[in-house]
Formats: sequence, C-alpha cells, structure tokens
Amino acid sequence: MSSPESVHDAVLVSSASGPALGSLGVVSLVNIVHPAPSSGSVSACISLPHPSMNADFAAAVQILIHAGAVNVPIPFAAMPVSQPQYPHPAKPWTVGDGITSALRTSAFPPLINMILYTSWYRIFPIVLRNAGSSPTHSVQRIGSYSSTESLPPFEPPSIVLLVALVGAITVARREQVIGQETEPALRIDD
Amino acid sequence: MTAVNYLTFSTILFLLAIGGVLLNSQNLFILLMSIELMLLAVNMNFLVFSVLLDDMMGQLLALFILAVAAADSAMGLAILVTTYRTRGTMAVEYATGMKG
Amino acid sequence: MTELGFGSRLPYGSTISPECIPIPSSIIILMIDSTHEGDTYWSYPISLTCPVIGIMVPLSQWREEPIISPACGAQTNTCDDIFQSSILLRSILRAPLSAEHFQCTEMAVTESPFFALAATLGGMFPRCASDLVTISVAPERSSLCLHPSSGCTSRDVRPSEATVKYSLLGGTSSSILVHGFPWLYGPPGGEVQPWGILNGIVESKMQNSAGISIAPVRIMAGIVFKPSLVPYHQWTPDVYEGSPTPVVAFPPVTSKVAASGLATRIFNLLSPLSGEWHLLPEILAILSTILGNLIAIAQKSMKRMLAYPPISQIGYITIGLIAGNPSGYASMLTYTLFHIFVNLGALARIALFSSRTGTDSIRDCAGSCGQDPLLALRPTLSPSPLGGFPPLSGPFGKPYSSWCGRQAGLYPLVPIGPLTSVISIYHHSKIIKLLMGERGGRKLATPRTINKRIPSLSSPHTPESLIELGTMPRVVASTTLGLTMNPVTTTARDNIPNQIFAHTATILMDFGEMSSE
Repeated sequence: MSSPESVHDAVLVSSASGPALGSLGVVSLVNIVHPAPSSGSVSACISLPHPSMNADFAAAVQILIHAGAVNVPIPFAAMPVSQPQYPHPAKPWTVGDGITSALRTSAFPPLINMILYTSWYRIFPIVLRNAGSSPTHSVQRIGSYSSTESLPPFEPPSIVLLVALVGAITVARREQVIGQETEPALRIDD
Repeated sequence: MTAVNYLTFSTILFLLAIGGVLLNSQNLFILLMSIELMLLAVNMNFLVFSVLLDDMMGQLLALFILAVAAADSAMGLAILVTTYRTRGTMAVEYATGMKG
Repeated sequence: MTELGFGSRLPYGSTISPECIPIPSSIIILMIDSTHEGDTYWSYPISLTCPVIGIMVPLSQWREEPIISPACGAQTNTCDDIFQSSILLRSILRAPLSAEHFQCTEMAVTESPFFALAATLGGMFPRCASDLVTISVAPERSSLCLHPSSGCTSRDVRPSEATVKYSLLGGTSSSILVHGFPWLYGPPGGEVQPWGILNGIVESKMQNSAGISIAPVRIMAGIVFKPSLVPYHQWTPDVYEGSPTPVVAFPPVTSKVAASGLATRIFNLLSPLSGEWHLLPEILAILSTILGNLIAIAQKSMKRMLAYPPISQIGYITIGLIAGNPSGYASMLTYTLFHIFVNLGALARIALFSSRTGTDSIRDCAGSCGQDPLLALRPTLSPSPLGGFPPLSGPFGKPYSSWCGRQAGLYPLVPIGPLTSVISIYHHSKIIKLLMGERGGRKLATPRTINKRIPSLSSPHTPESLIELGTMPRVVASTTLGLTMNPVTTTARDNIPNQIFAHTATILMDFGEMSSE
C-alpha cells in the first residue's frame, strides 16, 4: 500500500506513541493495577502499523494472541495480589540502580548509531519468497511454509504450548494428597 | 527511511523493557510484563526485516516468538500465583530468601 | 522452492524418529492422568521405557556419514547423536529418583513424568537445528518445559522462590538471546540456512557493520544463562537448595546439556563473523571454573554446595566448545557424559544421606562416620569423582580438556584446570574430615522413620530401594568412566564430520578477502 511519506510518518508517530507511553507506564508506575492495562494497550497499539507494513497476518495474530491471551490474564492475576490499602512508596534508587540506569541509557546512542549508519540499501533478498500481494495469499503462503519447509520448527512450539497449559494448571492448582490408601493403620513406627 | 524509524522504535521499546527488568524494585509482575515487552520488540524487528525483504520467513519467525511468549507468560503467571499463595506478597525484596 | 509431497518424507523418517518416541509416550501419560483419579503408577514405567527405546535408536543407526533430510533440512551426525543420547540417559537416570520422591511425599504429581519427557524432547531438539528458525525456537523448547518440572515438586516457600527466579530470569535471558536473531536474518538478505547467512553477509559487504557485530554479543549474552555460566549462575544454587533433593538435578543438568548442544550450533554459525568472538566465552569459562570452586567452600548447606561443582564443570565444557576443532568437541562430549553421571550420583547419595540425618546442613553431619560408616562413605565418594583421584573421571577429563585448549591456542585456559583441581581437592578433604572425625553433628535417625510418611508399598526394602537402585549405575559410571575415557573420546573425535570445519574455513577465507579490499 503506497502512501505519501508524511502520512506514513504521521501514522508511525501516532501508533508508536501508544506503545512507548504504555511501556513507560509498565516500568514506572507504582501500584500494580496500573501497569497491567498499560501492557495491554502496548500489545494492542503495536499491531497498528503492521497492516501498513503489509504484515496483516502478523497484526491479526498479535491482537489475538498477545493482547488477548497474554495480556488479559495479567490484570486478572494482578488484581488479587494488589494491596491498595498500603500504597507502596517508590523506593529511592541505590547506587547500583543508578549505575544500571546509566548503562542502559548509554547503550541507546550506539544502538541508534548502528541503525542509522547501516547501509540498508545494500540489503537485497537472496531467496525470493514473495510475501504476496493480498492478505489471503500471504496467509496461504505462511500456512504452506509452516506445514512443509518449516515443519520441524513449527511443531515444538505446539508442544511447548501444551506443556505450558498443563504446567500452569499443575503449578497453580491447590495441592492434593494422593490416595486414601496411606491410612494411619499402615504408618509403621519402628 | 521507514525501516530506520521502526527499528529505532523497537530499540527504544527493548531498552525500556530491559530497564523494567533491571530497575524493578516493586513487584514481580512488572518483571513478567517487561519480558513480554522485550519479546514484542523482537517481533517488531523480525517484521521490519520481513517487510524490507518482502520475505515470508520473518512473519513465520514472529509467529513462533509470539507462541513462545504466550507459553512463557502462562507459566510465569502460574508460578507467580503460587508464590503469592505461599508468601503472601509479590514484592521483590522478599524474593531474596536464598542467597550466596 | 518446490513443494514436497508427503510420500517423499518417508525415506527420511529415520532422521527424526528419536524425537518421535517421547511424543506419543507423553500423550499417553497425559491421557492416563486425565482419565484416572489419584496417583497413577503407570506413568513412571512409561517415562522410563520411552528414553530407553529412544536411546537405542541412534545407537542402532550408528553411521559415519551425516544424513540430510531435505524435507526438514536437518543435517545430523554422530556428534549430535551422542548429545541426544546423553539427554536421554539423563532422563533414564532421573526416573527412579523422582518416582521415589513423589511416592514418599504423596504429591499427586503424575504430570511430572510428562514434563520430564517434554523437557527431554526439547533437549533433543537442537540436534535437528540447522537453520535459523529452528535455532531461534530451540532454547525455549527445553527451558519452558523445565520450568513446570521444577515448579511442581513442592509448595513451600523456598521451591517457589527458586522457580520464580529460574523462570523469570530465564525468560529475560531468552528474550535477549532472541533479540540477536533478527540481525542475522535481515541484513544477510532473508536467508535462514547458516551458509546462506554467511554468504549473504559477504555479498552485501556487511561483515564489518555494527549491526552484524552486535548480534553475536546479544546471542552470547542470552545463551550463557542456560548452562549457568558465571555471572548468570545464581539460579542454579537456588534451584538446588529450593527443590527436593531427589528431583533437584533434573532442570539444571538438562538445561546445561541442551544448552551445550545448542551452543555448538550457534558458535559454528557465529565464528566466522568476528575474529574475537571467543574472547567473551573464554572469560566466562575462566570465571566459572574458578568461582565455581571458590564459592563452594563458603557454603553451609550440602545441597547448595553441590550446585557449584557443575558450574565449574560447565566451564571445562565451554573450553572444548571454544576450541572449535574435533578434539574440542570430543572433549566437550566426554565431559558432558561425566557431568551427567557424577552430578546425578552425587545428588542421589546426598538424598540417601539427608534422609537419615534429616538436614542438609554440612555442620550437622559431623561425626556421622562413627554412627554409620557405610552411610558416611556415600557423600565421601560423591563429589570427589571430578576432584582428581584416579581411576575416577576427573584426572582424565580435565587434562584432556586443557590439552584441547592448548591445541587451539587458548593459553589462558590451560593452567585453570590444575589450579581448580587443587581447590576442589582441598575442599572435599575438608568435608571428609568433618564426616570422619569431628563431633557435634546430629544423631542419625534409624532408617525408614525419618519423616513419618511411609509409602504403603508392601516390599520390605522400601523406601530407599529405588534410590539405591538408581545410584548403583551412577557409582559405577562416575568412578570408572575415567578408565573408559579413551574409547569414548576416540569414537567422538573420529565421528565428528570435518565438513563443518571445511565449510567454515571457506567462509573465513571469503571474509578475509573482503576485509582486505
């Protein structure tokens, strides 16, 4: 989809400010209840530029999985553990925190430098796997890739999701004591 | 170039999330959310390169990273809920009982 | 790319069939668990049978040439088979211990064999990882299955804290690791095969750009968490101390072995990118071997102390990895086998010892030799196999690893082996002296009444029989593996294909030409 450069930039700025502000809210807000919806807004807003990048499938998957399946349970789990009656005061930064923050901020200019001065024009696709012109065509191509060429990397995440499902239930459920067969009569004291 | 803008944005997101992990002194949930933010930034990188090259593999990789992020968050949430049940608090300063 | 029909995949089924064995067994275990109430003892024999069958597949397919499967692009060779067999061996050795534990504690955790099988499958998966997509998915595959297996064992404060640290910090390190992969995908032009990536970098003349140089740094920073190299090692002692003793070793050791296999693939890919790539792993290997031995001296808890020797052992394994030649990989494989047997044996013996003393504090075990000499002999034998007494494994494994380092020109790493052996021998002699001579320890409880939870098995040899049964092969292996090291090393070295190194050499020459232009 072709659009004038200024409109494209305006779309980028408006759709990038949502996630940027939301992520600032996640890492700096004090009460646990507030970062949770910020995280959800990050996931939702970050998929806005995707259709303009011709990544419609990724946008749909992002909304459904990340915003829907990942970020929705987080507020539900955060609600019971928040303690509004004891507003947790923000702890003052220690020297270590200051050093870490300085290191993190100082990592920013070299990374931006690297991005700005890389010659992106030299990159050309070596293997022509055309993304396809229409959304349905791209989804079809992704489906065919994941079931033929990329089958070994595609199957493990499915098993991982199954294990995560069973694991989350096992870890978080109430403890059960097995079997009534260990009755007091069978407890032997030598 | 648009690729530069998007890559800069994902770098900012990644560094903010790293800060959330390292400088978090309040709550273990913030740690989990920061991990999700980092994986979002990685996704953005893959998609930018996929668009730049008009290639399908980037979107496929982004899908796998997303599945991994979902599984990670499910496990992390379950473990945090168990921790809250045993300890009664989610504050980071109480998660340092074992040291050395 | 032409599409491949289903029929053409069948002739290559033998390449991936070892991974196909844990999948149906884990599904059978899940089905048994969901259809039966209460504890289901069938899951333990199934979780033992599956790795036994799995380990026979690569042994029966012992071959010289690597098999290439164009359907999935997997190129596997005997080096990978040995790694895979070590993961399966790990799973076999784990089964009796955890069965014993879950019976004793009466926890209805039938899912534990399922997680163990899933983690085994995840650890086997890097064998198939020959392209960027699979390499980026593989680390998560094993580590995400290890989080529930360490989290489901107990509901106390310490295990949950250990699991929190392991899973959240593991998630962070995986995110950092994965953040390096887009820069290996995009700038080289969208190729996902390793040689295509390197060719793409050469053709787009980006081998000196900052973006390509930072990618290996990120990948290495992310991957050193999983084998618990210093300074990312803190999760290992916490997991050792927090989890119940019989089941504690499964997540850390599997994580280390799987990460070693994956690191082999990744370093093969990254080594032509920068001439100084091995500087960071060298420093981490030195720090791990030294600090792993030094910090162990200051520990007061037996279990926490046992976490540090594996950290130093992974430093030796990393030396073999950095060496990058066939001898280096052979030393890595041999040391990995030692590592598995020794660690599991040590923990099994400590489990037996702790069940009688009721504590895991080292101080409380003083003088136990006078009460039960045979019992005190067990922890004596446990940490010393890698300490350095022949015919145990240590004096054969460490010099070989140092020799490979010297051959590859890694001179700072060479004196580390003898130095750390001296430290570990000193430390273990202190513990032996404490066990043998001093007073002030706890009185040993009589067997089988230690925690008043007796499993209702009718055999008179319970509850320690399964742990003892599992300990016996470990004792034999860890004490005599040093004698059998030479055939193991020779087999490993001769079966690592040289084409990996030949191809890397070609790419390195291209890089050199490009840089000199």
